[in-house]
Amino acid sequence: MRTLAFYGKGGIGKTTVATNISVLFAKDGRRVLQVGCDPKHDSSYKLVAREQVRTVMGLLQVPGTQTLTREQVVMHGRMGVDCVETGGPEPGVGCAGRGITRMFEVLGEAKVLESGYDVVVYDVLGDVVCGGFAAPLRRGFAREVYVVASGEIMALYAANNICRAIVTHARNGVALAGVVANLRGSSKELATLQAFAARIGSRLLHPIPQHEAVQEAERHSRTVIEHAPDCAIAHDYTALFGEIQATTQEDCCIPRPLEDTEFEQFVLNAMVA
Amino acid sequence: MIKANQPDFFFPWLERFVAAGSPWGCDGTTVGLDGTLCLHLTGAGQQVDLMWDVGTPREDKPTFRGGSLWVERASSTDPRLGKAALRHVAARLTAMFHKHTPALLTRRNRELVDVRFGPGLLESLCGEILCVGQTRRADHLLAEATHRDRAFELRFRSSGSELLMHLVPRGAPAKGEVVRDYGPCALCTARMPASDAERSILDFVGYVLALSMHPQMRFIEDAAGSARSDAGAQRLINPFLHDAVPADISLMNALQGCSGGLSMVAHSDRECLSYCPLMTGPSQSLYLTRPELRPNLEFLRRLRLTDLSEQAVIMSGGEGALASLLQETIEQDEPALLVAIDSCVPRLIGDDSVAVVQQARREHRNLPTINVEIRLDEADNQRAFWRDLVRELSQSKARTPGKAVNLIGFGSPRTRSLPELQELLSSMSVRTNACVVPTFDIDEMRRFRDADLNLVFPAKHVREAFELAQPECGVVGAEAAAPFGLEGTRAWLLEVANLLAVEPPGEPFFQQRMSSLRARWDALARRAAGHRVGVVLLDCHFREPDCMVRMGVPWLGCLDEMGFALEVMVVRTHAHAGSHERDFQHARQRLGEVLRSHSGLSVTKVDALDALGDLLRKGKFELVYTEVAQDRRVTTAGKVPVSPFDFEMGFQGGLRTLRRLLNLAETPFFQRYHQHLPPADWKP
Ligand SMILES: Nc1ncnc2c1ncn2[C@@H]1O[C@H](COP(=O)(O)OP(=O)(O)OP(=O)(O)O)[C@@H](O)[C@H]1O
Ligand SMILES: [Mg+2]
Repeated sequence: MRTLAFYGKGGIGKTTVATNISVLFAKDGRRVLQVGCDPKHDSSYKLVAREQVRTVMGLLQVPGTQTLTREQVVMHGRMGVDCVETGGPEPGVGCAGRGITRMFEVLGEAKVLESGYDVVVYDVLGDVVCGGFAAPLRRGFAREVYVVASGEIMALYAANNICRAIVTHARNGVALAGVVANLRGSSKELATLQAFAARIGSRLLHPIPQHEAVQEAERHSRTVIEHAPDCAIAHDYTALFGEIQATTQEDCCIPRPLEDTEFEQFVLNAMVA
Repeated sequence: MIKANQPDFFFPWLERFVAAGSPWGCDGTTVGLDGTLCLHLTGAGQQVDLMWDVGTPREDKPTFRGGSLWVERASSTDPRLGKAALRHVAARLTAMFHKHTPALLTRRNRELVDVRFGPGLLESLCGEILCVGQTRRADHLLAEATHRDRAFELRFRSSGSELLMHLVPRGAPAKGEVVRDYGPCALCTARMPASDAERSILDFVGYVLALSMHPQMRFIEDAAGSARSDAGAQRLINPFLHDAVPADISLMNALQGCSGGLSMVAHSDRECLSYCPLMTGPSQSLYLTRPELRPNLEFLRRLRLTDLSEQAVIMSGGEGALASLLQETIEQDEPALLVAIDSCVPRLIGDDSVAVVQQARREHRNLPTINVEIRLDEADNQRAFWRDLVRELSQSKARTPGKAVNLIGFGSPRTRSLPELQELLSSMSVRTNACVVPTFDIDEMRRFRDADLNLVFPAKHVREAFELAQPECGVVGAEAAAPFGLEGTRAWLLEVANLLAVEPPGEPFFQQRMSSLRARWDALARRAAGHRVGVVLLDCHFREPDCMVRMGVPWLGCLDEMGFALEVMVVRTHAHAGSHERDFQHARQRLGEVLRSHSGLSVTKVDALDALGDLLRKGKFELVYTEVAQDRRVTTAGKVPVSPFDFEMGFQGGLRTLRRLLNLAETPFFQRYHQHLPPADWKP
């Protein structure tokens, strides 16, 4: 079983990339589970109809609930992708991080990960702000981390921080499998990302440009692969998928995140170059 | 060697705890063959034997903690005597065994049904209590335990004799005399015990087995059966030797001892709270001058919990729960004081408890409210608590005429020596306005400013507890050497008179006080002169300015005054190795200055802690005061440890102290049992 996690700055495109990759794995005949580790539970948005979305936290809220079964937790999404949504508190209260840890406990109790999946894709919320959001990096969960980034400074900054979390959890067999470029169209973006990937000792994967088809598909609550399989951006996702599919142990590394001062220097150089 | 859960380990504490600071003396505890403990009590010239069957409730006897407690014998036919003893012992035992019911009192192995009757039998049944080559009774050692011929043999041996016992499973032929039938098996002896030592072995083994078996247990001979040992050693703290700040000066004890309309709201869950020993366990300190504090129904009734579930923690946090609980408490209890206590989890998830409590305050302006913020690395903010208490409750009103003091840290209303102090003060027309720390009374706190002086008990822990509050009080604070011993009490009174600028009591006053006391004191002091007290001090100790006082108690001077001869051992500490000789000379000099009866004083230099064990064993003294924290050399040397906790304030308190120390010195418990204790280097 391959276990992938997509991390990256908030709004960078993790869910979009992860969902398309899940769909492509499924189209390739694999049994895929996509786990949304985000209280705003939008990971399965393009796979499961809104009204059918159940979140683990929501299910646990039902009075009298002690344990959850696999059937309760797992939703069967379109395109053959199974989905789990963590859910969590309203913004500003409670503890979403603890909620993610709790969701992993539920996955264990309901033996969800032992039900014959070939690929598990974790779609994690923005920054790794506390231990709860690093839960997918614990032993037995994700092993390949893909960092989604653009050429913008804060996106790179977040990517660098995520690399620190990967180093912390490297003892669990977690490694960085590559940087996914979700381009914003700023100048020298690709070169900056390439340099960044090289600096941290990793590689840059097939870049995804901005394309209106993504949002067009989103309006129909679908992935581009489903909605417009022939448009250019669908081919980019497929090319990225090809690289992810071919990824082996050798392609993964323990990254060398930059120190804060190094990072500043890197940004300065990238601007000047 | 006897392990942590060996019964003997507990007996010294059992006896002392039952007797300490009460009119009852406990002359000893005997274990019965049938799982009973007999406590021999003396009080008011009468004797009462109480029996405690720790495991089985008996139909015709009063039930007590899953067993029964009853009066077996009493020297008087007046039923009130037995009842009083029963009440007293029940209260003490409840306090002592609230949480840590030690092995000697717990029926073990309830979960064990099928037991293999084979070589591992003893291990399965008695864990570490009966260990071959280790367990000793008197001069006998459990030398052999073998499974042979459908029976289990136990051999206790001494140089001169051997006692052979058999455990025989139900249905198998008895071996010799059946001493006790447990149901699944019986204990037999080849011959009846011939000496006291042998009788005590039989009692002991019988007792341990009685606690280890239950009627439903089945013995399976060499077939499959589970054999589990119950080896969970329990950690015990020797309460007389702890060097930490006494736990009784704490927020929880203050709240537990509070009198008046207090309500508490804890933003915490039950689990978290049950780990807070001060909240749920008995007071750890046995400081005799302080009240016994333990959770009581009253305390629990005053306490409400938000009791967040994990789901609530994740999904909503607890601010709403706290707000509605505060509201409910205020409406239903109409408290005079509301204390809101925070805990770790709400803080971790960012609940703003402070804001919630402040909101409640705004809505109930006249309700004194204290918000206790818990930090992860601090058990409670008790220091700020005293400040807040003064701030919230004390009101400025017109002063009552006449002089008045607040006693800070002298104890609470239940402290035995306090009434005497108050009475002494009133004899010089000084009113005791309030007694706070470790507990408080809401009415007293309200009139807290109606005093001329805050007299602070001269000990670091009290000083620290009250330091923050002092500037809030509007009353001057001062310390005077605490009233311990006859001289000390007298000096204290004079000093208080001086601080308050009142007429000090004259010589006739003291003469009259002493006259009622003198004869008894002198008789006891004559007995004390026949005893020596070993005193173990560290050389660095004498560099401290108040080295003759511990926790505010001038124990050394008191011992001297009582007439005990002192054998002081000055131990070299590593930190000051080079200056040991100088420190030693200094120690001699200081001791010479402080003590008046130099005749009975000897001072010895001890170069290393290792040599101390020997000195203690050979020393011709019964009581030992030691400053080596948690040092078990004292008890393993067969000596009785004493500590500042054994001392009481006032003239009468001094008398009680003297009597207590003599009782301890003359109770041969440790002489008799020290060889059963684990060695000095053993760690729980
Ligand atoms: N290649 C692209 N072209 C155009 N729009 C895109 C592209 N990738 C993502 N988007 C849009 O960006 C928005 C954010 O994307 P997405 O939800 O995937 O980000 P995210 O990283 O998962 O965000 P969050 O951190 O909030 O979970 C979405 O509206 C999505 O349609
Ligand atoms: Mg997302």
